[in-house]
Amino acid sequence: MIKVTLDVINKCASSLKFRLSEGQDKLILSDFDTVLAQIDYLKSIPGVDQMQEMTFPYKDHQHKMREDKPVKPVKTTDLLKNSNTKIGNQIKLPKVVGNENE
Amino acid sequence: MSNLNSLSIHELHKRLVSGEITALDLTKEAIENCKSDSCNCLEATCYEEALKKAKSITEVKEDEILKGIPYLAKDNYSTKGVETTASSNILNGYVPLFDATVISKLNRRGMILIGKTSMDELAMGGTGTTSHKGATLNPYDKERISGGSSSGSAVSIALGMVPFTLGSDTGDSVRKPASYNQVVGFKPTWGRVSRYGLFPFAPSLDCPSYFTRNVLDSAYILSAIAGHDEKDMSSSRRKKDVYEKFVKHHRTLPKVGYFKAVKDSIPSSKVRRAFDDLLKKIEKAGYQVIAYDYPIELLNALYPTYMIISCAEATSNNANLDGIRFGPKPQGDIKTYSEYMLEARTAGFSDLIKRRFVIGSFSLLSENVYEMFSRAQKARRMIVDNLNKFFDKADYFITPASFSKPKKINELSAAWSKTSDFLENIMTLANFGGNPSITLPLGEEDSLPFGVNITGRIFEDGSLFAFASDVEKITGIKDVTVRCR
Repeated sequence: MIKVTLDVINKCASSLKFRLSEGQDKLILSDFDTVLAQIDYLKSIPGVDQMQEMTFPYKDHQHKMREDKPVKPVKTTDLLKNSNTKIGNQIKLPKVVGNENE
Repeated sequence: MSNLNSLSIHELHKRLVSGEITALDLTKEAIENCKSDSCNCLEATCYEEALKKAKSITEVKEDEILKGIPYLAKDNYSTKGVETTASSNILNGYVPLFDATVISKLNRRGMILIGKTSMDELAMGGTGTTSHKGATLNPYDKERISGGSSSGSAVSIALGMVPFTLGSDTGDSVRKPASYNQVVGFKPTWGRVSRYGLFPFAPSLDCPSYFTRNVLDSAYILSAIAGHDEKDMSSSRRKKDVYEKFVKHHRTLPKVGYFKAVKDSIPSSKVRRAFDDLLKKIEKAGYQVIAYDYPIELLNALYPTYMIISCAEATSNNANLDGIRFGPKPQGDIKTYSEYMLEARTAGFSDLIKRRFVIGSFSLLSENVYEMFSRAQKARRMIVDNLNKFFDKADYFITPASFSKPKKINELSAAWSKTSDFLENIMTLANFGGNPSITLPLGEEDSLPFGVNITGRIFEDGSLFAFASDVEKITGIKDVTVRCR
């Protein structure tokens, strides 16, 4: 397992696309002392590592393809409600497409 | 002053059918109740639409039990045309283009949505204090927490604003606040009710859940919202029941069990006495009461297992909140979409949410996933296997729903809990196993309510209602609102 450091915590935050406010990384580092102790506790439960992971509470899923039925498109007026900045009947999005290396 | 919305759904239905009251009377009153909110319960309202719908209801028939009844929904259900933020700045300005399946079903039955309730941000919390609009206050003592994450829904029904509110339950987010607010909180079997349109927190645990003020009303609601939904692949195809029949025809099972370790650890003498007394009365009513030795090492595993799984699933599920189409609009010289997302997500999430995401993300890193997330999933399997062994011996699991008074808001700590207090986390069992689980009022300590929680086998929601109805008769506590006390 990776050793938890302030650098690792800030890299996680960066990958998650946010910055931590001042002092938060230290608080998270302190949280990790507890989290890792609790993980050690789970590891110490006899037989736990022989169990199969449980992803959902029970197996009752039947996956079926939905019928290919036509549906009505969403009305333009409804779509426009999601934006404060509009040009005519179009939503004006912020310019976010650029060169990542700039 | 009389308040019609303090009455039960079935009582209001009788009056609507007879013509003694109208849907418009009820809706107008519910709106006035919402306007006088003193506990910060509400996120958004839709009064105009509600009045329009109420005016269109001119007649209620005998078999239209929910028609004309006002309700509020937790702000993590998509509601077409009504801003829905899950009490987070990252979703400011988001107006869903569709209704969640649960909302559609209730609306089709003629229920009238009045507004959306406050909650812990993105449903991640158990205190009701982390909404972007501030804490939801406990109506019995405004210095204390109301419980969460479905805080606004619990408090608004306790205040008598409406007779029914929607919440959601991932760890105990309906059943714990129900205990603090002296109302009935029900979490159905996982998969019994569609999650389509409910913002995901931890989908393997999330369950559309709700509050009423008595068990029969709760059964009526499940009959309306249960059933398979092709838009939710995890919703069950099993046939649904007519749940109120279980209450009316007393279709219960005979054996009730509790965990010895839980009963022996209750810190409050008042809660202990009330729980002991209840068990005696249940036995006297003809049930067999069984003391069970659930492994203590697994009770102590509840908290870490829940936190690791829920943080990991939450991190993954909320990655779609990019802040580009709605949420805080970053200013300044932003050149790339990465910079835009970084600024928007930094401003959009609170510190508490970021901390959970970092821990969740760390547990999913390829170098850590086996040691952390995978191990928590294995512990979950062990916890559920042992719960199912309990259900080989007993039909219902019973426990106090809260063990001490709700904490004071100014005494809360945001740090990861150092102790694995299994009493605080006992109701996560029903989320791990997907079991139906209900909290009912049980008593009071220094005028602060506490409840009892009952859990049944998966898909035995009906028999759970039947037993809960018996418990309700034994305690004699139902249809309580703050104002009627």
